[in-house]
Amino acid sequence: MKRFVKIMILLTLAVALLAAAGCGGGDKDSGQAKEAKVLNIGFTGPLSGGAAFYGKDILTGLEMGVEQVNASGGVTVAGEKYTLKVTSLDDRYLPNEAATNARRLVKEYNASIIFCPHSGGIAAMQEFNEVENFLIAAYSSEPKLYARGNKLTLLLPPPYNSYIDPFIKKTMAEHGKKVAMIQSNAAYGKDWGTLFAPAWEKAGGTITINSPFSYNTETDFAPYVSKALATKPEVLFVGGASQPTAMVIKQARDQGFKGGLIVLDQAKFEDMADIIGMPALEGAIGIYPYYMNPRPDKAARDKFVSDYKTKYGKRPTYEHVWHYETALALGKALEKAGTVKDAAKIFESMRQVLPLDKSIAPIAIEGVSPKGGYTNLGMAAYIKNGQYGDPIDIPRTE
Amino acid sequence: MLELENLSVSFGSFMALRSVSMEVRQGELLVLLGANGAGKTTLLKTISGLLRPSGGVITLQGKKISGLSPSQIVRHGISQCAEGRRLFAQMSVYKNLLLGAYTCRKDKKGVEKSLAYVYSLYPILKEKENDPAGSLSGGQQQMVAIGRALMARPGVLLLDEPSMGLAPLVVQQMFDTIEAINREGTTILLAEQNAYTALKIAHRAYVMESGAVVMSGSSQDIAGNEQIRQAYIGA
Amino acid sequence: MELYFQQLLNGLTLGSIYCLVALGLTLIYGIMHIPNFAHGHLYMVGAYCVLFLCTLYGLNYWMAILISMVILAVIGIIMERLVFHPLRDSPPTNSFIAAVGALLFLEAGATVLWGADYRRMPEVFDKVVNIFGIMATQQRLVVIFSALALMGALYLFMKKTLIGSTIEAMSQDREGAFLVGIDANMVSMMTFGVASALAAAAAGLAGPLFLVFPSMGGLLIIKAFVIIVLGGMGSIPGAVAGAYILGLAESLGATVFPAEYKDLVAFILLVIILSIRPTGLFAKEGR
Ligand SMILES: Nc1ncnc2c1ncn2[C@@H]1O[C@H](COP(=O)(O)OP(=O)(O)O)[C@@H](O)[C@H]1O
Ligand SMILES: [Mg+2]
Repeated sequence: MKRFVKIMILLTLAVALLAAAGCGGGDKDSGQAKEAKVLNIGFTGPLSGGAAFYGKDILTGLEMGVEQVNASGGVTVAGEKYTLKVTSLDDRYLPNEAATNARRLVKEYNASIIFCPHSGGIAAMQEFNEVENFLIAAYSSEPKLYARGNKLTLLLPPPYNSYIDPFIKKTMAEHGKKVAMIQSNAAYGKDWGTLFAPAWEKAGGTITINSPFSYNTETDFAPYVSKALATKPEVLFVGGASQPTAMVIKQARDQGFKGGLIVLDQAKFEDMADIIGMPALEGAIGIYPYYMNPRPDKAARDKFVSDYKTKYGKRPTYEHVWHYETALALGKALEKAGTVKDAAKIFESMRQVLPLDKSIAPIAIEGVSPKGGYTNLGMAAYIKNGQYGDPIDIPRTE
Repeated sequence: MLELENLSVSFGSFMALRSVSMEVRQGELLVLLGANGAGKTTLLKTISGLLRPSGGVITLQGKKISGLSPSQIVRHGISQCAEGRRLFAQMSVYKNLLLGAYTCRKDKKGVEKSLAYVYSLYPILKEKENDPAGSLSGGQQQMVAIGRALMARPGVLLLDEPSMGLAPLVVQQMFDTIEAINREGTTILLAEQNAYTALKIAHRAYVMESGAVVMSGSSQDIAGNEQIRQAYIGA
Repeated sequence: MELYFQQLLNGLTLGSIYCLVALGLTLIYGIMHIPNFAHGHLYMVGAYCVLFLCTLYGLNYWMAILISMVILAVIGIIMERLVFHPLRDSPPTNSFIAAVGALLFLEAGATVLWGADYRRMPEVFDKVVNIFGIMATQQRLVVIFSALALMGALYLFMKKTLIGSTIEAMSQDREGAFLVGIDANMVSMMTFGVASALAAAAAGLAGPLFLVFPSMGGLLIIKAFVIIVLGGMGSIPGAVAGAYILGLAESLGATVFPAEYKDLVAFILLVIILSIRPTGLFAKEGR
């Protein structure tokens, strides 16, 4: 019996530790702003389980933006002063949990804007957000979300299908027409693949092998890479999370692959370069690293990059900056709308307050399209001679 | 030399030993008789520290040894050749014997001497020294088991039914060597069902029934006892 | 054809890593009859140790692996004392739960201390070698041969030293081991120490090829369990054979079948072997 108790204590401790790790930064009540009312900005995303890292990482950009708004005096809506507060709930990456969270955020926390970083959760919320009157700030490059015509969805990043044609055009010109597809077999990689394969063939290319595999349950990627290289491709289509993608590329280079690489947008060049170095990425096309993005005001970008680095100990990526600047814009939009309740009106004001003043806008959001997406062009980089080169503009296909 | 005082052992609510008292004298060959299930094995396991007594004490030359761990008891000079032999079946005969000397492994010369002694008792083991112990015949395995127990150079050797499952001719040889070992000065406590043969080599005997000692005395007395003759010797 | 040789090399690398981890697992199972689910997480801690010793303290790669093996041996022993020793007389379910608890604890601890992000060990043997058209970094060869060397060392330790023999003795006949005066505590601690050191070595060797992150052990422990079931629970040759079989099955399976069915290859193999030999390839007799 005593032993049983010991085990229970041990288990409880372990679970408590996990929980502590899982919920860090969730509910910190700021004591200093007692006079101002608190306005909750909702967030639902994976905060525990396998994708917890992703969810918490996204949250940092949003929280930093909200802190920035509060630091410059909070927002005054219809004469009432508010402090913004991010209220985050864990949905473990599950659409139905995201929907439940959204209802809670609306009912219990009076949130009228909810951020969500995964397409499943966003789609689930879109079932009722127009009726229940809340704005979804969607971080997903899933093209289907654009097609749904939801009136209260703000889409932050470009849909990934925007990249496909420019990537194909550049790569075919530089490397050839034979591609081997070994991207991640997670939903996102598969979806990319289903759009990419016909587009490649339509452009006159051949696919030597179409064999996506799991980037996060395999110990060793070498067998898959060997299999793909045996088909003698000129180009590899790869991508998943940055780190495993880097290892896939490294494997290919170690096995003597010299050709081009098409890297789907989930993987970030700068993170991969940290791991395997620039030479391994020669001839790769992918997303232009944010911290070097030439489009926004350089001073604003560098300030954000260094502030973020100081605060979180690493370089920010698009995930963070989109959320950050969206939070700033939201602050302005709330003031302009004169309501904290009417999501449609807040969304409308959002369109009007953009673009923000260049000096405070690290990504320089240009505006919101009729379909609800930001109008900024996407940017790709083709790595040549160890350099990112001139950015390649990617128009958003909506 | 080795004394048990009011020793009791229970498995849950079942009392396998009920207040057993016994004395093993220096240099003697003592036999412990009893039918299957009488508690012989339980008694030997308790002496070796594999089972904890629920009452009573075991002393060796006046020092309390009950409660010590099996390895400490081996170090105190009590080793056991257990029922079912308990050999390391996939290891060679030689390795088995060597492990028998585990507690005195630092004394390289002593180990060699013991090994030579065991091989002189059982020359066949020398021939089979590299064979896996599990591949030997039953009688040879018993030799390895006794040899392994001897390797610890015990003052008291506990033998648990060494004749079990062996052919009569082999049993006789087995008992001859046990007698020889005793003659060389090792005190022996031998648990047996085979009363007839055991009593022939033993100095004294105890008889157990249902976990209790029911009789004790010299071998002749016990062998002459009518009840015993009927119950264990069958003549 | 070349592809098959390439896959052979990949399979051997993977098999070598599996082997070192599965050996530890099977040793512990053989002695204590505990399925130590936390073993993969000891591998993870080992990987971080090597990583930090290399990057923060600038230690030479081999030195880092050696020190990590020592550190992990100590951690393994502490785990045995703290978690499993108190449970030695209770039903196996308790040890079972305790192992899962230890696993959660280690993973949470690593996440809190070192963060959830992927890290990568610096590569020492990063030259690409070309053996008859098969391309691989030297690191893969280093893995294969170091694993063999470690197995050789383990073999010598267990066969040629009396102390090492006690591990085998205890797993072949527990009571027999007690009767010759082998100290169960000592053997349990030593087994955990050796097993954890092997896990650290595996992690150090695999480190430069793979990524280092807190949940990396979870993937491996499942494979290691398949291996020791395949080879026969507690059997040492079984673990070695099982590891290489699984490693090769995975890499060659990846060649022949689409990635989705690859795990099926390992699974079917398991079913076939277990239906022919229900207790595994090298099951112990009479158990
Ligand atoms: N581990 C155990 N659990 C429960 N009962 C046991 C156990 N070991 C022995 N017994 C019982 O104790 C009694 C004595 O057994 P044992 O000492 O083996 O007898 P013997 O060696 O004289 O044949 C028997 O009734 C047996 O069933
Ligand atoms: Mg018996």
